[in-house]
Amino acid sequence: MIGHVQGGWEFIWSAYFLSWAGIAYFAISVVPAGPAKRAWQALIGGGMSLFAGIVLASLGSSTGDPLINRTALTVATIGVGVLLLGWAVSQLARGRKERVQ
Amino acid sequence: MSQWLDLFSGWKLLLLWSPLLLLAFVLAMIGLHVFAAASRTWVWKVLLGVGLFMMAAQAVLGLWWVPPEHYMGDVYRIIYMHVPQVWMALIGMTINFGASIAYLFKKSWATDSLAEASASVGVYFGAVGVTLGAIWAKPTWGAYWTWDPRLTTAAVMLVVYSGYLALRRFVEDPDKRATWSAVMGIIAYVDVPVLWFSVKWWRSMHQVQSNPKTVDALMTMVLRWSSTAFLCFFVVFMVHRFRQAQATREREVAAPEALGGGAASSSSAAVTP
Repeated sequence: MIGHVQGGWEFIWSAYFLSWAGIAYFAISVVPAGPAKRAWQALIGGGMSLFAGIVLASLGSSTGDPLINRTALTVATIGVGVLLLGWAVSQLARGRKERVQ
Repeated sequence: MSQWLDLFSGWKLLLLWSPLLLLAFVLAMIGLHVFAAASRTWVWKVLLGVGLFMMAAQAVLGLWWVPPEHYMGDVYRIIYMHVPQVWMALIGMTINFGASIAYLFKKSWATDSLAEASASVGVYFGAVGVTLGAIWAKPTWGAYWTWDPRLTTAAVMLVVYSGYLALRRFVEDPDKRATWSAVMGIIAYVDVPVLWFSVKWWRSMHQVQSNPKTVDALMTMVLRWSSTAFLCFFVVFMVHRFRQAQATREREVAAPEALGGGAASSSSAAVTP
């Protein structure tokens, strides 16, 4: 008798999100280099990290493992930090563009 | 049989065949891009739009609309991301193989740029596809990775083609780089048919390739839909990577003395668009 797999949505979401983020990241990689490009890369990287933290938190809550919960918090915090960094770089890029114009 | 007859009625008919119609449209766009130079400014934008629309629709179809699989439950939904991306990787490696052979015969920079673009896009899709396979393996096999023939040949493919891209970065002379990487591209492709047939040749954890006769018609439809979306992205990425590679060749050919030996190839360095 083959066992039936129950749940597993954290794996499904990880796979889908990784694919979407990968496509976005590769699409940006073909854009000419500049501050805006770096900002978008930081936003996608931060978003991926934040999402990984949420997936890990979901896994931690289902298993009750404190190590997974701490890792989730760390990864999510890094994600928020990188997102803020991306936002800051995008503001710098916008300011530079306005000054040039 | 009855499920197939049922699919020939109403909106299911449209949903089942729409991926094939869109695939025909994508192939027509590719043909237009290759043979009609004037269309090159807008074809990739159309394909990007179609790809984004199909990817959004695929998320709804693949995550909610299609029913769960009997044994794997919902986890099988990873198939709609994993399989198309591995297919795109194999298409990329096959184009690289063809372009590598063509370069050795024609010595055209366009074929060399095509080889570089296809390897780059192929490695990207291959890396994501293999990673998704590992994510899928955990809940179904109980481990992220096992050294079974399919996974091993996939890992070998990624390592070899990453080496191919590294070789292109290390060699500065454009002529030598193109020739050496063409030879390496031909040798590297040996792994691709082995990867494809590994599940038939050896006992493998990985299942044998499915076909429309062994898979529910609705699942086939969503897989086709997803594959066409990824094909759109594949073409868009290829177009841009190809243009980047061509621009690099133009710079190298324009200033061969800066490359320290690249001047030797200037006689065969006519950049063709």
